[in-house]
Amino acid sequence: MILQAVLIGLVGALGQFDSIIGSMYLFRPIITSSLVGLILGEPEMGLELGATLELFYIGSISMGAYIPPDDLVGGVLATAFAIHGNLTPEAALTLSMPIAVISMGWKNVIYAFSTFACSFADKFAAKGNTTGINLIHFGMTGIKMVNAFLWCFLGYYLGADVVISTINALPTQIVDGLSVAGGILPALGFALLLNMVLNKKSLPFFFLGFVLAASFNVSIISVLIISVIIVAVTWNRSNDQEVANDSDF
Amino acid sequence: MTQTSKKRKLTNHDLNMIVLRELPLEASWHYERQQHLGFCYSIQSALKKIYEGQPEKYIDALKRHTGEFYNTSPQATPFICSLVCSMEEEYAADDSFDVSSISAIKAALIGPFAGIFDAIFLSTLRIIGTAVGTSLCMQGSFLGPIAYWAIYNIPAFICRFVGVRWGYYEGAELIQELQESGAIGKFKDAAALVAMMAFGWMTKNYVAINFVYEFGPEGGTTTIQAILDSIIPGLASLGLVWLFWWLLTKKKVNFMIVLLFTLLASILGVTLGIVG
Repeated sequence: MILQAVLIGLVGALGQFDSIIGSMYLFRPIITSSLVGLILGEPEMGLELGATLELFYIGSISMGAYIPPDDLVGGVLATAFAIHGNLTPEAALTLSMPIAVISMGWKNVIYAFSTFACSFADKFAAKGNTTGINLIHFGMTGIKMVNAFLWCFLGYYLGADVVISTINALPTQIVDGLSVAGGILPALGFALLLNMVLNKKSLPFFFLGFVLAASFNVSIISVLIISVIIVAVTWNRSNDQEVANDSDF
Repeated sequence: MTQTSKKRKLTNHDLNMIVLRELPLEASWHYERQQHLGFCYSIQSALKKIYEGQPEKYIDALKRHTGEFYNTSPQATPFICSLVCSMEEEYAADDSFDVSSISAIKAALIGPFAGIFDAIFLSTLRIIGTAVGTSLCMQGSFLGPIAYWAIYNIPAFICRFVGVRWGYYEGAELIQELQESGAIGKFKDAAALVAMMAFGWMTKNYVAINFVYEFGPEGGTTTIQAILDSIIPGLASLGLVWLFWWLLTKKKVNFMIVLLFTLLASILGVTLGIVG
């Protein structure tokens, strides 16, 4: 188990390393849960958990100064616990939330420290000392990598059995209720994200996508092809109309 | 902006280096100045070359880009980096160049660029990647995470390598052109259209609620679910998304409160036998 715990810790560290290799969004559950599934010898379960968690956390992305719940640590640990205790994806989803919120709280402490540490970069800049600036720059991700490693490693190593026995002791209504919630919660994530792209022009296309899925049962790829065709057909036409973006939604 | 000097110091290799150095843009992100060190790191080697033999101007440039707040999409940053470099180049050649225009263009671009690039990358390509990736994951295929990665990241890298060249060679003209032609708005509209169709599809396929409560005369009972599905399958999922949207956006209810209420309502609903 210790080897698996170390590897799970490294998945956490990889998620933070993402901010050095180009913000590729490797810290998302669809990536991390799949890796945890491989480590724990349950690749298919890892993939399913990754998809379930990803859909819920779809709306929790950092935009501007908003720091969402820590889907990295929450996703990695919930996946590891769920595979360890053979939980349903919905139970894993619910389990990930408190972890993600607590981990986010702790991460805010690190961000506060970052502001303090980065203030020294001005002094290095005044001396032309780029090495000093860059040490601070990369050091901050170094700290976050160690942090994520420890959370995932210790969380799994010390917590797996405790968490699973606690969950198994819960009344069935709660477990079933959380499983129902797991089906509903992606709607909350979508609602959160809709605002970024919602305006009067785009609204009808939400319903077009919905009806294509509901009444004609088409795949996502077909929906994408149709949407690109619509864009291509209307591209020049929208020239004649006002281009102002109405965001009064 | 006046183009006083057309002499270019940065080579293709230097521009590619800007892209590579831009990858850790968010390594030291923090609340106060956000990506300022990331921006400084991205252009350090270019600045060194531009200000060769002018150590004072070099240090001034370092101070400028370390000190200034910076935060925008990582995919948009190589364009801004190389545009800034082309202006720094003018200052290196001409002392009368107004340095404050460099800070001004950074401040002016980060907001609108974050708006358009986040719409294209975070809310469109990432959503498409998630929709395609999760449907493959559900089938137990490792192509799921790979497709998710590729759909988001291949365009992101193309955008960086193309952007760094556009920014350096024709940055100022391009920005003017984009503003005048309204192309930014058109790109945003196109991204929004594609994203909204994906959201509609995902609402049907990934949101699930089942009302199991039975009613009606004995032997002929029906469920609320059956009635809803007879109108259009997934109607309840559709209602849920817009209910949550209404609560979060129109009623400004705190996300955590909605979340907790959903969990409690689900447990209550199961206990009473309404949902299952």
